[in-house]
Amino acid sequence: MKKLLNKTMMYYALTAAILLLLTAPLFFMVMKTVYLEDIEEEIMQRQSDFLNFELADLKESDITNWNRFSLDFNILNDSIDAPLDVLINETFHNTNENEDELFRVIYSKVEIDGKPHIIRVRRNTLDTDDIIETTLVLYLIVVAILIFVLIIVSRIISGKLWKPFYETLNVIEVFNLEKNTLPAFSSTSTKEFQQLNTSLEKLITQNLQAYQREKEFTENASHELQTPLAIFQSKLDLLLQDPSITDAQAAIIQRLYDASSRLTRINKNLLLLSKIENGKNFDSESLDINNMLHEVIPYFTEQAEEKNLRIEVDLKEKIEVKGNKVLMEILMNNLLLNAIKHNKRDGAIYIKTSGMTLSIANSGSPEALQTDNLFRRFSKNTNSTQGTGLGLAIIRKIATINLWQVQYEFENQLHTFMVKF
Amino acid sequence: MKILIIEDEKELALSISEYLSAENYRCEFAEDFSIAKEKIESHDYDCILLDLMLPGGDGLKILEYIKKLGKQDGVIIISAKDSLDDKIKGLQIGADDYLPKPFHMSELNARIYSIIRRKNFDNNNKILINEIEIDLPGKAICVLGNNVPLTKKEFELLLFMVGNKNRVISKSALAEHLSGDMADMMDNHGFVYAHIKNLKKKLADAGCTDYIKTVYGTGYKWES
Repeated sequence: MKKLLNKTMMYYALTAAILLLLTAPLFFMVMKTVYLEDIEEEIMQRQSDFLNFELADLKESDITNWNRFSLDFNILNDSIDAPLDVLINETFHNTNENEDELFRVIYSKVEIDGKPHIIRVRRNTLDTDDIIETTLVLYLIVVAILIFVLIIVSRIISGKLWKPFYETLNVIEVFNLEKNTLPAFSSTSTKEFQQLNTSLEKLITQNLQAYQREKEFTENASHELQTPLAIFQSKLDLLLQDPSITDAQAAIIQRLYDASSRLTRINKNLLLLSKIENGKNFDSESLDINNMLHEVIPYFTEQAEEKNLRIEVDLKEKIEVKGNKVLMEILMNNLLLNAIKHNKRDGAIYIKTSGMTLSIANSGSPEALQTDNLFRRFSKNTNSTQGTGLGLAIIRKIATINLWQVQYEFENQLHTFMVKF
Repeated sequence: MKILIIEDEKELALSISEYLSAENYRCEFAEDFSIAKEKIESHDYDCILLDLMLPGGDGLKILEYIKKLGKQDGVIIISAKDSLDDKIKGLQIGADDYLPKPFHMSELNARIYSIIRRKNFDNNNKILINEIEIDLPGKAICVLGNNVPLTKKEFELLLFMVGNKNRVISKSALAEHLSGDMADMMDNHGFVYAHIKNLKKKLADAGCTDYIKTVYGTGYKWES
């Protein structure tokens, strides 16, 4: 990815280069024409000066000397066969450089001491190669200067003109919906940037409101559900006291109990999740992870025994973490519960701490879990109807608010969840 | 024994009263803030069940009022707001217990039972049920004069069943009671059976009559 300014500059430089290249032939033509006109004028001037001022005083005996010192103005015999009084091109050999050079030449007839002579005024035209070379060098210098200037200018522009834009960009980059704070955009005198900031502010405000409403809705809905659930469960408790219940009816009641327990669990977990999301204040204290694991694990041994699971605990160096104790317990409970719930009979659970990482691995299904939505609410990976579908969401939420990382890996037939503190 | 149910959900209040009436508790109702205040002023109760979200006011204000009047009534907060803050605040003001909704009737009953016993018997708090003597503060039991060592869970189980004697207690209620705060997580009630089995065996080994009956395969009952 290139920065916007670099891109702009590149386009400018490219356009300038192409434009310059396109104009090069024109420049060449103009240069050539102007020079030609210039030397033609000079030739004509020289000729007319000669005719007007010098011819009258010239003797025939002077001609040899004249020709010796004047290289580009010669007085020749009348025997030259050339068109007269018109400018023509003619090539002469330059003995110094040993090359042919093109000249602009004019021949005219004059009389010196009554004898007819031909005068030849000539000027060296510019060599085409020379012109091209000069043009090229000139152009390269121009392009170099142009690019250099563009870089400097873009630096200055980026420093000044685009500053509000990059400031806005930084603000949005660190914006976090869950933190529930409207970012402050600095004011700018550029209309477009001001517009951008205003629009962003509006957008973010609306988003925050929607997010807030959604969170409150979940919390309120969960609260409202508690009472009917309580009524439902209390009626079941009463129904169970009826001595005329048949076994078949009792079986139905048991199913209803199961459903109501599950409903209660989902509801409580939803409530917990939205409480964490709503940024309820959770007191933070220093927690000894290994100690807490030792406290929590015994609660699960019964459940583990039922599936005949082997629990291997390997706690190395002491990990001290700042966090809320209740939430940390919930995180550990959820991890352990998952490790039991999704385990197979006679399986194993490996609980390990090393460095700043807690990892809990369990045997279970031979295939890795789909990781796309693993930590999202109600994204069920297995077809187990037991869970609430919220355990991992809660784990991640707790980790997120504490800036910890949760990862899932599947290796050596072990499902491993890692929390990096 | 008199119980005041301060609860605006009529159906829930009725369920509670119906369940408790079998224990010879007399229940009175208060469905809003002002009625509750009025009743508390003019009567004494052995236990008050207090919902925190009431029409007309905050339940915690009622709790403060009870304490201001210097009443000795036991108070159990029953709240749909399962919030730690409320729980701590409630217990600080002087509630005896906090039970988040939804709860099992047997759980509520056991808690009322425990509060009333605590209020009435203080330290010498022993329950005698047939040949079993339960020492509440000591968390120990004797059968026919002999000490029977129980695990913490087994003791809790026994107390819970005795507190709900002659009532059918669902497996879910037992599971939730035994797993305490972890109840939200557990989705497997299998371990209840294991504890019941162990308790029954220990009691039987001590020469105790088998009072624990399995009912419809759905729950258990202490019959005596």
